[in-house]
Amino acid sequence: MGLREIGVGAGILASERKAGWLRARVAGDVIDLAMLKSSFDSRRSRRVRLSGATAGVAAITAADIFYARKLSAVEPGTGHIRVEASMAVNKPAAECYEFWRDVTNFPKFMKNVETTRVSDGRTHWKVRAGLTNLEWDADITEDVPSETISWQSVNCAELPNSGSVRFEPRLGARGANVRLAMEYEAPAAGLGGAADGFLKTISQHQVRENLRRFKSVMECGEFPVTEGQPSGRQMCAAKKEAVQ
Amino acid sequence: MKALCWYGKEDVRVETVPDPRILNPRDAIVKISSTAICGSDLHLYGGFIPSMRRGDIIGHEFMGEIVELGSKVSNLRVGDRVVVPFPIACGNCFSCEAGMYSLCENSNPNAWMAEKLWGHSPAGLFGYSHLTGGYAGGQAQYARVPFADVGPIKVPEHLSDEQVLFLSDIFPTGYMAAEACGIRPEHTVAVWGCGPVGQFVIKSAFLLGAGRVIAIDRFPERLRMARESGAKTINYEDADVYDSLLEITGGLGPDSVIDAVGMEAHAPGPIGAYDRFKQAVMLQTGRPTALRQAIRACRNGGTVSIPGVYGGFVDKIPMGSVMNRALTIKSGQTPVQRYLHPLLERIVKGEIDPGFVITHRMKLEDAPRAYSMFRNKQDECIKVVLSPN
Repeated sequence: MGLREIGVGAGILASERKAGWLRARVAGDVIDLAMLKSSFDSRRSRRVRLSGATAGVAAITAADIFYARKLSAVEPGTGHIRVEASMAVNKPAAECYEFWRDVTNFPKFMKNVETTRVSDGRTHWKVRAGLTNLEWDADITEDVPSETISWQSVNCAELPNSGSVRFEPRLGARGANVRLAMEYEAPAAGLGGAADGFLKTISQHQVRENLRRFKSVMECGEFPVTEGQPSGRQMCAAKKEAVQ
Repeated sequence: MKALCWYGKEDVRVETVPDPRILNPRDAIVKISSTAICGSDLHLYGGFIPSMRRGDIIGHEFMGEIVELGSKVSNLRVGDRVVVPFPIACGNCFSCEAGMYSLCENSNPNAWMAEKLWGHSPAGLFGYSHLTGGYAGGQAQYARVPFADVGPIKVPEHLSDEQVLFLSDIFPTGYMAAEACGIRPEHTVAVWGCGPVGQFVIKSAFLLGAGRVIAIDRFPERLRMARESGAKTINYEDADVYDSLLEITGGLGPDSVIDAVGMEAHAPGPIGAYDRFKQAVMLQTGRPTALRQAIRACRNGGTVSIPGVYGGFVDKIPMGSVMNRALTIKSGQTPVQRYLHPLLERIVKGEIDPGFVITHRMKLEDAPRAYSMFRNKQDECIKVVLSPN
């Protein structure tokens, strides 16, 4: 962690593109906050010190976001986010293609996708975004059976986006490598570069996790879940309610 | 139901929690008849495994009766008596198809977390931190078993729980560690740690035809159990391990060395103090004393087999010794599914009765006391079996 901060600090001081380095700092701050959060979960004894550390890191995060925004105002920020991921799937490319080509399958492996349907040759998407839903229509712009599918949103979509997926046979006929690339105009572009950087990190994670679920659904017919299993945390919550 | 929950370092409690339910079509619910505390559970108890959360139900050695099945499990029936392997495996991915069930690519919902720490993710495990899935464990009255069509094995009625329970982990784990050494009749095998896994390493090494097994520990009752299995023993508090091993093997060193200790090795003197300090200030996550000793003692071109659990990073591993002397390192969480049938067959034939390792039988309610006793090696404790129902 120390090395990361020193490295990023040197980058900020030495580089012409300071906003980018500051965004890296914000990403680091978010990791620190996440780690502090998990410390809260696991250790009861040093709450006071942890609270102090969290407040400190939160203040630094706020400062980093502020300066990243200030700096990116002078840089041409595009608000354009592109993320890519690939995953080896133990099924033939043709089978992976067939499943993906039926867009109504998307909610089975894309976490935030509520519904997808086709009407008049055009796909319609409804996606959960925080507390609201975003909707758009998209056209399939390229379609090569067993190889690739590309799509592009149309008609002033609420979240302008495009994507493509490729299915490449693996060496020795051991299934397919599935490569997914997605691009979109960040809805939070107005928040400045720091927010964009953060969004990119999250999007990258989401795209990869969606692809991982695709792999699981193709290979096993389901993906692993633990939400809904018992733990002692439910009892803690119940006891707290009883006390109050 | 009642379940043993982890709340922090040396803080485990039996709580009343909701019953598990079927969450996926390939799940089953098992009503647990017997469950054991594993030596690796002590790493959780000691707070050495990252990504534990307060309230997690732990335990990964369990068996019982199927009481509910998901719609896609067709090879089991309600009422079947099964032993459940500790790694969760789909049976469909590249790794499972190659028999590497403990590296299943589809059973860890937190694979991304493990990828950050280890580069790639292994399989999900029952009750063993969120890095390996955060699955509720089996020190409870009931457990949900994902991919139940692949893992659980039906066991014959005439065998008791105590004879088959350890198919879930420590018997296959000890067996795999010995098998990895390519044992031959003229071989000497040295085993560090005479806990439950070490005891199964010793038995397995003999089953696989080892000429001589040397067991290393410091607790008299554990060394005694090792001798009862036919091993020679070294108490490392009384004798220098390296000198003793060279003495026995005419200066060559053992053909294979097996670290059945893992991340919490104890060592007398300054080296022990050094490792304890570095672990305490988080400059390393394990104390690899046994592993260092094992590597140094192994004969040229020999095999170092590591069933002992490590979580993150350890320090001062003598790579010069490994490289210059052409040692082979073998390790891994055990792909239990691969060993279930062959090892059950050995039990049925009477080649081994795994129950020999049990020293304590207790109720689930007594689990907190059992952990403390097992950790502190009180009352000559080697293996505890809990009955939850």
